[in-house]
Parts: sequence; structure tokens; C-alpha cells
Amino acid sequence: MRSVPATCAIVTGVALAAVAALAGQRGWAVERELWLVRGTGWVALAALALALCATPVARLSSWLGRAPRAADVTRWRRALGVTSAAVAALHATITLGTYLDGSWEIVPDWPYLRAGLAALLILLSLWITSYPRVVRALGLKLWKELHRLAYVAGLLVLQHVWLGPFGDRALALAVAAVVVGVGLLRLLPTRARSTRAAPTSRSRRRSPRPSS
Amino acid sequence: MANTPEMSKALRQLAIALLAALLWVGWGEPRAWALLACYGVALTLAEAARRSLGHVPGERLGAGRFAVAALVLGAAPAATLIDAAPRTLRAEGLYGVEAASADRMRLERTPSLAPGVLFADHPQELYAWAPGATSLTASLGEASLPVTTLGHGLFRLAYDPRDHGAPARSGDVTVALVVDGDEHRRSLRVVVRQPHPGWPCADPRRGVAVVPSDTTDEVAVIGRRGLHARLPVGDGPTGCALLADGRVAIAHRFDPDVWVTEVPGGDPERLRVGAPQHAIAASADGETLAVAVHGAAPAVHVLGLGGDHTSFPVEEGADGVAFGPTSGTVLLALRRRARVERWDERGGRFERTGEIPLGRPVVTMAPSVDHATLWVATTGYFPVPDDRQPNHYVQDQLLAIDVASMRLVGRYPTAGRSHTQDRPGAIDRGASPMGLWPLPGGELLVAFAGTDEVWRLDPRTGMLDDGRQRLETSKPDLRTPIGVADLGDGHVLVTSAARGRALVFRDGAVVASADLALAGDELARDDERAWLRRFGEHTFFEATRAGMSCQSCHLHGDSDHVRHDIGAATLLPTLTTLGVTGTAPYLRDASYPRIRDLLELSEGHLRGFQRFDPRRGEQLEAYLEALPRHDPLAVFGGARDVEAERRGLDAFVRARCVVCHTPPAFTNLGQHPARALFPEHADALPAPLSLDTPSLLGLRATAPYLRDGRAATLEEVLVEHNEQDRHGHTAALSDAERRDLIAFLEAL
Repeated sequence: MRSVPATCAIVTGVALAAVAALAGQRGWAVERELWLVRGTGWVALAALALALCATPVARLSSWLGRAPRAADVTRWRRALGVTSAAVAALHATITLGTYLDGSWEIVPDWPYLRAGLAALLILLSLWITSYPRVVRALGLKLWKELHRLAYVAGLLVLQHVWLGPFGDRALALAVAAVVVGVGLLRLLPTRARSTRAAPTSRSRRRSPRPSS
Repeated sequence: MANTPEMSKALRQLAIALLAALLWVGWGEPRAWALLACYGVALTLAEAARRSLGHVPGERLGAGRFAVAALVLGAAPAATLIDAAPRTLRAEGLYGVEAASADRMRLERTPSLAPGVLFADHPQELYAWAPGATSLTASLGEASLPVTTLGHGLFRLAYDPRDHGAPARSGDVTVALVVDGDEHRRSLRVVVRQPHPGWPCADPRRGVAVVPSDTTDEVAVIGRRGLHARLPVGDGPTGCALLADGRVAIAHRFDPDVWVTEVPGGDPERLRVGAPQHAIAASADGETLAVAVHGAAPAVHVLGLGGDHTSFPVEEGADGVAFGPTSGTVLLALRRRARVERWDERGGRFERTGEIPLGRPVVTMAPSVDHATLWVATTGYFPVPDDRQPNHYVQDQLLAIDVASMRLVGRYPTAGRSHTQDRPGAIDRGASPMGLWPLPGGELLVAFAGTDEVWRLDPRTGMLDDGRQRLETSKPDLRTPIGVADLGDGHVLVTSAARGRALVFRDGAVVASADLALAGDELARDDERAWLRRFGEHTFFEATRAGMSCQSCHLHGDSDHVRHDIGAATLLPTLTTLGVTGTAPYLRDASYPRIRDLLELSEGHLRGFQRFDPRRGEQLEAYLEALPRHDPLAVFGGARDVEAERRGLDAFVRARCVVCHTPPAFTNLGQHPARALFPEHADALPAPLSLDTPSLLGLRATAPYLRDGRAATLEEVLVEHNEQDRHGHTAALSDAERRDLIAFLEAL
């Protein structure tokens, strides 16, 4: 099995290639630009949404008796977060170079651009502070408090899409609803990962449901 | 009892959030990035505390103690936060976002319909957008609406209340759309308008007046003792004129005929001139009519009672029409050109023989009794174009124009200050002259819609300050008077379209009334939306203490087509208010999420209204919703070149206009940095300048185009002002395709 970062990179690469291919079919330069801008934005948003869902999904899995390894969850979450930050940076670069025609000075004046920029800065900060050495230097408590900003980034992204001229609000709202819905799974009780061998399908069917 | 680790974690996080909020409140910067920065500082301080104390303050408190501490420490910041919330929301573009979102979601929910309003009193067209669909049928109740398939999933629906039924009261109505076999239901807001008595025509000798009501397709015949009769006429009566033989001629917006009928009633003689007829006048001898027709080929028709019929084309549809001393002289008021023109008959043809530039369009006009002088009301007078007009400059005034020489012979500013005002400089009279009636002897009756007054003005002595000659019309419940007429024997007729009423005064007292619309309490009970509209119309016309009203620039709900200094870097042409409802946010830069928010301009910049009304915003929204957009149906009637429109739509889609000007409202309600669309004008466009994507419905009537009106024609928009091909892929279009595209746009 491939490593988690490699899997993320491949999936993201395929998604971006699809965006580029679809953009390439557009005849008008402005429309090509829009496809690139929107496509990269949606890939970044999807990665962020998946990153935010990683822990609740793991909690659900745990509740169902298939607790994943904490290290696996962390790896996936980090890979998705880094992907989101990297693609968001690409999205910002393309936007600045095309739609905004290099007028970076207008970004602070536009709420939706400002929100996007703030989200990008948060994601980049989280990326930088996601390396083991930096985590150790920060301490786990501070690191966690810092990385809760991922939720703020999610809100800012929602604002960014909602106020943007080309944002698909219905889709953004659906993604936000899914993330919030999945996030509620955090309320499920944790269950220690079993150290025994994985049960057979027959024994799993017979095993009682965990009590809450 | 010691906290659990989970509890400590939660309290620690809450303590950091509380500290961040305290820092943010102390800073006073409303934008959210400041809160993020404060969170960063709070995090740093918490970490410093943890390293020096071993814990974050608050972390070791029990939940109850923490809550008490948070209440004590957080009360002030919480109150400040709540207080600052509107400012923060505004700074973050979230203030009123629910209004813009509702409009946008409605349009994005395909199949979608626009406009979202259905008028129960006149035919109109709606657009349905169902991307990819090839067939669509529409029904309203039991009636099927005719549908024209334009291609690319765009359909045009035709509604005519006479054929498809008219809802009885305001509210919502459901339209069933069957798209490629699947049924969808969409609701439209129904507008049922009350009678709307406009400008009267009258015969003082007979003591009778006729008042058209465009919303109810009728005219009211009113005498000195009150209402004589209400006569049904053609669709959308716009004006009337009394003839020498005692008959009355009625112009219509939707009916191609001028009706000439006996008063009170009888079979009408129909004179075909085409529609929409915008203004009508009778000559001094009452033997000839002049009718200004707008539409695809604007013209003026001169009709003699003996059957003579002459017409001449004009550059734009005339707003006002009157005769000079003879039936061979016709005077026209042109709004876009802000001037009055004189046309004389020479050798059987009319030729333009004189003009007088005013700088501001004519609001209303009337010839003197001998037709030698033309009286006009305007909001300013700039015979030489002057780009240095003060911010929001309006000076209501009456101008007397000598018809023979086409020179100004009198100028009478009307809006003035009085001792009854509670603030220096405030204005409480003479605002928005809307109705004029010259009297024998040179005096003039003037109705002021802005300040609810009627004056009897003697130009020889200037403005009157004689209370006996001023009628305070708000006291007999006749707010917003727009029409006035002499009924002879000292009787004066005053009409209020907003109130749906006409009153006859004599010696300052009401002696008779003609109540066409429901009284306020009945209306509030039967149709609250219509009741709100009534007060909204009052608000639209009511002058602020600065002497201006919405009407001052948005002439009759539309535009005065004048460039004003509204505090922007450049002079900007007035936008129309017709058909804007449902396209939030508003104004060019999308700076107002709801129409009601625009009232802050009145309260802030224009010193507020003289009456306090907490529901003013709601009322104004209801009124504007009920102003029909410029509907090309009135221009083209049934004579449309659908094939050309289809080709134009193809070009519209190919040029990718559809990306931002998305059907059915032809806007996706998005905002763009101006520089992104028009990089060639980047130097003239401030960096933060936002362009709100305008709807293209009614586009034909909204020239000049682009934000500052730099494009006089659509051709200029597509070619000259799109050098870098960013405002639509127009470079890909051939000349023929561009012509088709323009035809399509003008037909919207």
C-alpha cells in the first residue's frame, strides 16, 4: 500500500489534472482562468473538508468497533490539511495572476478575498507547524489550540465561497452541512482500540454493540 | 474536585477565546482578521503563562467558577461585541447577506423565473431558465401561458391578465413549469395595484375633469360636486385631453389606439397610432391632438378631429407634449436630452424649429391658457452643461418658456425654507412640483408632491407666502398630490395617485371627493401589501429636510438621465429603480444589501424626513417592487423577430456573457473588482471599486451603459470598451453576430 502522503498527492494530482484538462477545453481566456480558479478552489475546499472530517470519522469507526490507529488518523489528517494548504496557495496564485490581474492591493478591501486570504494564511500556518520537530517545540497543548484554527479556516472558506461572484453557494452549503453533520460524530464516546486480533466477520456479527 | 482532563482542555480553550475577545474589543478593529490576530496573541500569552505558571489561568477552576469568572470578565466585551456586530458584519460583507442570498438562491434554483413579480393589471413577459431543457410549458392556475423557446434552456413566458386571469389580491401565486416532462412549482409575488389617478384634463367652463388611472384601466369623470362616473378604457391609460366638441381623448400604454369618447361615456372612436403612447395634448382650439409614442420607432402623431393624421419621427420618445398657440406648433419635452423642442408644420410636414436646453429634464409641463408660454417644472436649470454641480444638487423650480422665441422668460425656484422648521436650512414647502395648471390672468396652480401642498402662484409677484393660497393637502388625507386642475367657479381639483383619491377644494376647504381606492383602514385590512405600497409611494415622493426626494432624480421611478455628483469620484448617471427588486444587493457597487438600507442616505446625508415612520423601509420596498420594469412588450408588442433573438442568444452564450449575466434575471448577482473586468481603465478605477453585475432585463431603456455611462450604445459596450476581451468574449463574434446579440439584448 502506498504511503498516505503519496496517495493524497496522487489523488490531488489527478483532480488538478482534470481541472486543467477541463479548463483547456475552454476557448475564451477568461473562462479558462475561471475554470482554473474555481477548480483549484474546490479541490482545496474538498481537502479541507475531508481533513476536518478525519477525526469524527475515526470516532465513528471506533464506535463501530473498528478503531483505526491514531497514527493513521493523524497521517491522513495532516496529508489532507497540507494538500488543502498547498492547493489553496495554488488557487490564490492563479487568482492573483489571472482574475485579479496582479492587483494584490485590492485583496484587503474585499471581504471575500480577505476571508480567502485569512483562510490561506491559517492553512499555511498549520502546515508549517505540522512537522514533528515543530510540534515538539510547541508542545502538544499549544499545538492543539493552534490547530483548532482549522475550524476557523473552514468558516472563512465558507464566507469566501458565499460572497464570491462565482461561488457555488448550494454546493458550499452542502459541504458545510456534511462537515458539521460528520463533526457531530465527535460526540460519540471513544473506545480504546482493541489489541486483539481483528475478529472474523462471523464473530463481529455476534459481538454486542458497545454501550454508550 | 479536580477537573477531568477533558474539562481542563475545554476551559483552557475558553479562557484563550475570552482573552482574544477582550483584546479584540480593546483594539476596536471590527474586521475578523483582527480577531484572528488577537487569537494569536492570546495563544502566545496563554503559552507564556503555561510555561511560567504551569497552567493557563482559569484552567484549574471548576466549571461553575469559570462560568462566574467568564460572566464577570466577559460581560463588557460581550456587550461591546453585540454592539459592534453590525459594523463587523458590514466590514465582512455579511450585513444583510440573507437578503442577497435569498435572491441568489431563488435565481439559482432552476428552473427559475424572473422577474419574480406578477402584475395583475397589465401584460408582461417573464423568462424561465432551465439549462439544457428543450421544452417547457407553463400554467398559472387553469390557464396555460404562451411560451416562446429561445434555445439554450431559455424560455419566454407571456402573461396577460385579460386572458389568463388576474389574481384578486396581493400575495404569492404558483406557476407550474413542466420542463422536459418534469413538473416544478415556482412562486411569484403578485402585485394588485389600487386605482392610481394621475394627471387630469379639465374644462373649467363645464366644471368637469377626467382623470386616468393606469392601474385599473379606467378614467374617472369628476365634477365640482365630486365623482360623476368611472369609465372603462383601453389597457393602461397614460393621459387624456379634452376636445372642443366635449369629448375626451385617452392615450394608452398597451392599446395601440387613442380612444376618443363622450363624457361621460359612449362608444369610443379609435385612432390607431401604435403603442406605447406616453403623452397626449389638445391644441388651444381643442380641434387637434398630439400624441407622443415611444417604442422601437418613437414618433409624435398629430391628429385632427376632421380625420387628418400626420406624424413625425423623433430621436427619443417624448416625455411631455403640448401645443403652441396654433395646432401647427408642437412642443416636446425630451428627458435624455434634457431639453424642450419646438416643431412647426411647414408644407404639411413638421420640422424642428427651436429648442431650449435645460440641463435637467422636464418633470411636468403645461402651456399657458393662450399657449404662448410653456410652463415646466424641473429639478435644476443648467443651460450650459456644468460638471461642477454640488453633491446631490436639486433646486426645484418652475420655468416659463416663451414659445415664439424658445427663450426663458421666467424662473421661479420653489423649494424653500420656512419658520416652521426645527433646524436651520430645512425645507418644508415647495418641493417636487408635480402638477401644473395655468389659470387665465397668468396665475398658476402648482401641486407639490414632495411637501403635500398646492399653491396658487402669481409669477408677477414671485413666490407666495400667503397661507390662504396654500392648500395643505396632507390634512384632508391627500398626501403626495401630483395633479391639479381648475374646475372653474373657484373650484380646484387635486389628485393623488398614491392615495388613489381626488378632492375638490374651494376657498381652501374640501367640498367634494372622489375616492377611487380603498381608504387606509380598509386597505390595511384587505391587502396589507397594497397598504404598505401606498405609504411607500408617499416616501418615494416625500422631500427630506434637504429638499430632495427619491423622485427628484429617479424621475417617476425611472432615471432623470442626468449625471450627478453623489459623492463619487466622477459624475454618475442616475440608475433606474424600475424592476430592481429581487436583485440584491443594490447600487453599482453593491453597497446596500436591501432597499430599505438606502434610507440611511435620507436620514444621514439628506437630513431625514419630517415625519417619523418606523416602517418606512418596508413601505419603500413594497412600492419599488410594484414598479414594473421597462418591458419591451410595450415597445415591440407582438412583432418580435424571434429568429433574430435566437441567433442573438446563441451569440450571448458563445460570447460567454451567460457566465455573469446568467438567465433568467440576466445577472448572477455577483460582484467583481472593476479592474478585473476593465483593466484598460485601471488607472481611472479605484482599487477597491466593486461592480455589481447588473440585470440586463429592460436594458434597452437604461442607456448610457457601464458604471459611469461611458458607453452610449451597446455596440460601444461590446467593442470600444472591451479592448482586452474580458467583459465577454466579444472578440469571437462576427459583425452579424454582434448585431444579433444587440437585438437580443434590446429585446430583453
